[in-house]
Amino acid sequence: MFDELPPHAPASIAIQTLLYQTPLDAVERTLEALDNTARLGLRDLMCSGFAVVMGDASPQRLVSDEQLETWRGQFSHIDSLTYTFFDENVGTSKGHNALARSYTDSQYIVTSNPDVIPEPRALWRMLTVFDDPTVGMVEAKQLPIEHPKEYDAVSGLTSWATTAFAMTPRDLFNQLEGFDADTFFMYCDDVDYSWRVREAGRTVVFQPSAVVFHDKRLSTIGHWIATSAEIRHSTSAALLLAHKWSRDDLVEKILVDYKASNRQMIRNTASRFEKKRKAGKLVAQRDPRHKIATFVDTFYAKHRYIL
Amino acid sequence: MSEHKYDNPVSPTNKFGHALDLLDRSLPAGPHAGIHLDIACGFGHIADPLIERFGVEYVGVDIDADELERIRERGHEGHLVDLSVAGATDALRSVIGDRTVVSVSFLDGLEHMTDGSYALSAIGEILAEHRAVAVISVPNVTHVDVGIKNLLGSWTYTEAGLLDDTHYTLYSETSLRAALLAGGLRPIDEYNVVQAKSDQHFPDQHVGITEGTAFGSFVRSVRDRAEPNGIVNQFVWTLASVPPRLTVAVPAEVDSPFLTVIMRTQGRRPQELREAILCLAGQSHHDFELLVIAHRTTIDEQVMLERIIEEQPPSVSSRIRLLLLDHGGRSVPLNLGLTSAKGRYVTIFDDDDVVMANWVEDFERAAQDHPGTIVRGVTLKQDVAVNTVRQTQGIKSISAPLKHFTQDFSLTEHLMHNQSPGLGWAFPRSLHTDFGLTFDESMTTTEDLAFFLPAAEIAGVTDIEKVVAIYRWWSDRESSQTAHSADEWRLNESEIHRRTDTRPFLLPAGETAVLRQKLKRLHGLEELSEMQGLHIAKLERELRRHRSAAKRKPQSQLRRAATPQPKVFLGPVRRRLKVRTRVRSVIGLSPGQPFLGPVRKRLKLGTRYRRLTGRG
Repeated sequence: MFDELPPHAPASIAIQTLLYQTPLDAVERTLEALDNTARLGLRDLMCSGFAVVMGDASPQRLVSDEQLETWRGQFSHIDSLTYTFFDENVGTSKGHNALARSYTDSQYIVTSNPDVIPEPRALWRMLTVFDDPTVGMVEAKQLPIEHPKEYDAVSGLTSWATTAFAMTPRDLFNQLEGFDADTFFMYCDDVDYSWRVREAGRTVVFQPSAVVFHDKRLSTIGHWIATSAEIRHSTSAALLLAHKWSRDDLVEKILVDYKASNRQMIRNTASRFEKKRKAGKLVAQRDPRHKIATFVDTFYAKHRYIL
Repeated sequence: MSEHKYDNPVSPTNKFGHALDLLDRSLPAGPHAGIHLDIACGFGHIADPLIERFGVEYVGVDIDADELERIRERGHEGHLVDLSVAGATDALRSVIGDRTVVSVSFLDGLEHMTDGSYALSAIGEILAEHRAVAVISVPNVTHVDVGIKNLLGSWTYTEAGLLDDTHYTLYSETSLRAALLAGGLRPIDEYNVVQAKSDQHFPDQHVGITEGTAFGSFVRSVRDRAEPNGIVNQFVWTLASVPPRLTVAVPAEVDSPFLTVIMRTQGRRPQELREAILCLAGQSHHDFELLVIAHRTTIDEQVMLERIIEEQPPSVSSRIRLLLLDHGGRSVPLNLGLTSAKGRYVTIFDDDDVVMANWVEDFERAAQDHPGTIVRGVTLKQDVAVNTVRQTQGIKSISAPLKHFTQDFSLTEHLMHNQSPGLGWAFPRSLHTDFGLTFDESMTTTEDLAFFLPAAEIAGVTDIEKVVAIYRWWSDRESSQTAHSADEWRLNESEIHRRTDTRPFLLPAGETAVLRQKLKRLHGLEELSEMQGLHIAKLERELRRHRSAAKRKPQSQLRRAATPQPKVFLGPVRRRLKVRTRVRSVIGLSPGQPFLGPVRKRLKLGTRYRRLTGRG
């Protein structure tokens, strides 16, 4: 029974998730939620296959074979539960690309953070959006802190999608050769992929009715609390993204800001970029007429508010 | 009547009169062919009115031979039977013989027994065998006079009364009910003896037990809310027989979750409910139960709620209980949740708000560190709106989550404005079970503040310095903010203030300093305002004077006065400067030299010269 439109045909889904020192109870909670998602999909004839593809970029292997077998028995609605220990911190781009190659038997790929809990209907509501063949990527809304980027109030069209929980057709992913792992270690790999989806003539949709819980915290006055790793990787990625999408003016502006920063870490980011640029090792530029990429202040879409 | 302490007459206002009235309410019209069994009959003063009103045959039972002899002297039947030992039922059966028991009384006898269970079981069995009723009276040891004196370290046995020195077991309403049930007896009617001043109300000048003192008034206000028997002197109940059942007091901690989440829903906002439940699925600690109270839902809405619950993962759906409620205002579902709760703490999380992953965990940690207190985290406020994308309804945040409510708790501040939305705090369930706090069902809004104020007053509040929840402010659909008028909100707030103002109020440590600072500031502002008022009055007087002077001037002068005059400042100054320059040149001073000293000297010489020469 539906109180909404189901997808026009059942589809097979592979959920890709990268572990990095993730507590096992959090992984188990996510697996339970995914197993439940699969249960609804099978029962309501929306699902023709459901796989969870885990990769582990932690310094030490997190999941034992016994644990994996226990989970396989416990979460019986998941058709396939695989686990790869990378034995290095591969980053999100390289990790997801590797996972996509390791399991190919699904029509859609969903990238998911390892501690994300999807609402039981979330994934199937995302799938329904692909009834529109022009759509190339769908993003779920995160709780308790919603991403502030703007989207069209009727169509959900938006500049880019975060891969905390996003769905894309496998054939499109393959066509675009996945995430740009040569340029982006983590952060902005999803922005870059979204813009390449749009460059390929497909759209990126934010579906607010598809909701996932992603544990994020705010300061007592409502400000975003970023970790030093988030700052390090996102500042580096911001420069690379501006360069790749032909915004040299922004690159220079960002470099000025970074060099003036009182944080050594950010100044180092600027000098690393400049060295790479001097050595001609930066990625080739695209979108020279700025038809696709959207840069608004330090964001990659218009934001409704600042966190 | 003798001087014996238990030789008391029958009066309409004492236990005898109330027992007779209860029998009157239970028994069909007489006369009755059978006996009335009066257990622990003492002097048997109730015998004559019983015979007179019900036409029964009186049979007294006691262990005091002297008192029984007095009964027999009055022509009544009396038996010496010890009912505090095994075999009490058979002993009573042998007294009854083949006669029919119409009714039984057991007035102020139970508390004198070392073990009253035999007597109660015997009464239970006799009632069942004869389809009779019984009346019982037992002193209430929880009378407020006893309680307050006990609180202050005083416990005084007396020859007779509530703390009779021959009482073995002391009873509250709860413990008496449990003892009766274990004996196969259940109260079906009551007519308690109520006495605001019991025999323990001494000495008269005792500040604690006197109603009008601040302390007495405060304690009574708390006591009255906790339990209704504060001024009951004796419980006087009608009893019927039921299957005996032992009730074992189980500590609240056993098999109970830390937190009960009460979630009100009207079943009209499925997406909001999905989001709210998802927030609970995402909790870092899962030691909670969720009571979804479906309030005034249609069948379709109920089915929708059941489906959303069924769709949850097992670890979530197993924690949910759906309770249906088809009446009442906003507080009624909360009270249903309170009475159904199993958690040691309780919180309110309506179906259209959002909580952080640390919500349960931080409540639990704070409650472990400060047990018994209300635990309160930071709640942000965010504007949201309904947004339908591709024909599916979602929710869109339209502002950042912002600080709106005070981070540090102040009870004084809450007397002015509510700074604690319900989802930002959790309270110990003891406030309901032990202190009798409930949500006021007459409140159409602000029911959470009406509960929070007395709760915070009694339990105190522990602040959690983290964001635990986001209160959503809906801009485009009905919410409690839009469903009730501003006047209604104001009226309810006024009612809360009125209730708070009519009784003594307990402030936590530190709040008096806050009050002192605020009063000091207020007094300073009042003084300043008074001074400014005086100054304004003076200016107004001057203004009036100028106005009246202006009225007296001829019109031509007024016109002149009204005409802008050229500035007259620079001319005279320039003139004075010129004079100085001229004087400097006359007396031979260079521009850098001091001016006034030499000039004064010359002026003095000039005066002396004028005096000598006689020139004016």
